Amino acid sequence: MSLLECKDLTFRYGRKLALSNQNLALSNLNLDLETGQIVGLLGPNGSGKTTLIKLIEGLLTPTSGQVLVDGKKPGPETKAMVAYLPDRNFLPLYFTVGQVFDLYEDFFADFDRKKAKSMEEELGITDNTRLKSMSKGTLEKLHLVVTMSRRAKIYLLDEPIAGVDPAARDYIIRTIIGGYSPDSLVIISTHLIADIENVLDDVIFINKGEVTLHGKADELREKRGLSIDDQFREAFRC
Amino acid sequence: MLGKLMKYEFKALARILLPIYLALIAASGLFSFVLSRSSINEAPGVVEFHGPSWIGNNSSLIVSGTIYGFAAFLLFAVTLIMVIQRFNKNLYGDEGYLTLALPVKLSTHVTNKVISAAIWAVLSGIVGCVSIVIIVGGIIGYASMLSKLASLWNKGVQYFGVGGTVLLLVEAVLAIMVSAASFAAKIYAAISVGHVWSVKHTVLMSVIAFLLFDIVESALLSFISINRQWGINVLLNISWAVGDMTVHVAMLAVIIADLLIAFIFWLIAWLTMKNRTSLN
Repeated sequence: MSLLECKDLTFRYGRKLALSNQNLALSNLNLDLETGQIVGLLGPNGSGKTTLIKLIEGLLTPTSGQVLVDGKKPGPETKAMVAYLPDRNFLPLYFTVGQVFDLYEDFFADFDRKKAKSMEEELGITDNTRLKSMSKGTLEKLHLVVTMSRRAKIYLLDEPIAGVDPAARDYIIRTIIGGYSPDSLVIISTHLIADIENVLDDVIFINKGEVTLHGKADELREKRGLSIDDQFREAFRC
Repeated sequence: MLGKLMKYEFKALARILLPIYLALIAASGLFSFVLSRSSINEAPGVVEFHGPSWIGNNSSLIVSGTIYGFAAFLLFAVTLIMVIQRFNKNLYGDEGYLTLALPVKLSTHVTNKVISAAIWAVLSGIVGCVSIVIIVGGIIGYASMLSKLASLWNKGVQYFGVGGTVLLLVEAVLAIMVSAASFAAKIYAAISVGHVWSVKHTVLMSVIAFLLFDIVESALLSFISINRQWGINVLLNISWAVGDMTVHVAMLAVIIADLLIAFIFWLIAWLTMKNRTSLN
């Protein structure tokens, strides 16, 4: 059975009854993803990547169509098995690192505090470090630490490497590969493909709310003789 | 899950409100002290401060009174702002990406916010009352004030008995809490509706929604008031049936009515969020 299914998924921001395509973020999107792979959700800005991720996480309600996570509609049950990393700071800045771990431990049964603590040491922070005293890069790494410290079935990582330096990107990519379980599905949305393409098993190109390409990364590279990054640039050339 | 949410909600509000509570108590203590060292000078008809010279002259009354007034205003304003902000920021702001990703039903989130808002509104009210007690004690003397409070208690016991008086106090606190809950639920319903009506002008739309809810609520209450004769008849029948328990039945009726209003607004907030949850 698919771990993630999207059937004729449509989402429009604003009024539901709008007749035009204005604010149409996703249009009759169909997707079927199984466990044990890292999937790149690739598209230019405004293509619908974040909207799709929010629909899978249950932060948005579809205008029409449906999304199923392990056969269930997004809700508390699916949120317990989906680890979500948004593309912005989502943690209260007055928290300390320890308080963040406490919160994750309280609400997510699959949160592995030992794993989080070991990654905390690598970042050179302690439980008493307050989030507002951290640099942007360290804060983003902390976001990733708490997300990847969950033994989730699906990891939704929205632009995990945007806005960080190359060294931090390497750390993030290493953490993603080292952090996820082979039984889970990782979806990484990004437009910085060159840094991430070597870790991708599956590639989805999305543009204007529609899937324009979906295939195995290796097969796509072999077929066209081009890297995924080059194929992306070609597909979305302005 | 509700308990866990309330724990974090409590901590989030405590870090802001507890220092303000302490500040208000301190300000009331200062004002009380200044008042206790003052007397009315009958000749010029002003209140004069007769404390130690290092404290100053009559200006100390004005300064301490102003500080207290400011602290009291801050308590009211910050409590109201925090009640609004915790919902808006925690569910519709960036923190919403965490809050709504928790494996918790939306209804539980809304319930948490309403109950927490009600509890803190009551706590702020209690702190406000304590500050007034401190000030009054400063004016008339604490012994005199305790004696007056004891006299009030004795009157209550005379009419309602010990149990009845305690019950009345509990009912009063409950009534205030439920009233605060219904007000908070109305605000949250307005915020939720505001986010549906407009993505860009959510504050304006939320204010309009709140005013509309207020108008509808007032219109319904006016309708009930105009047609109150049936209510009065019902109360008279109940009074005949329950005798001395009439006041408790009346308090219960008020609590139930407010609970119903709170539930209606809770429902509006929940349904609006459930069907059109949007984080942009």
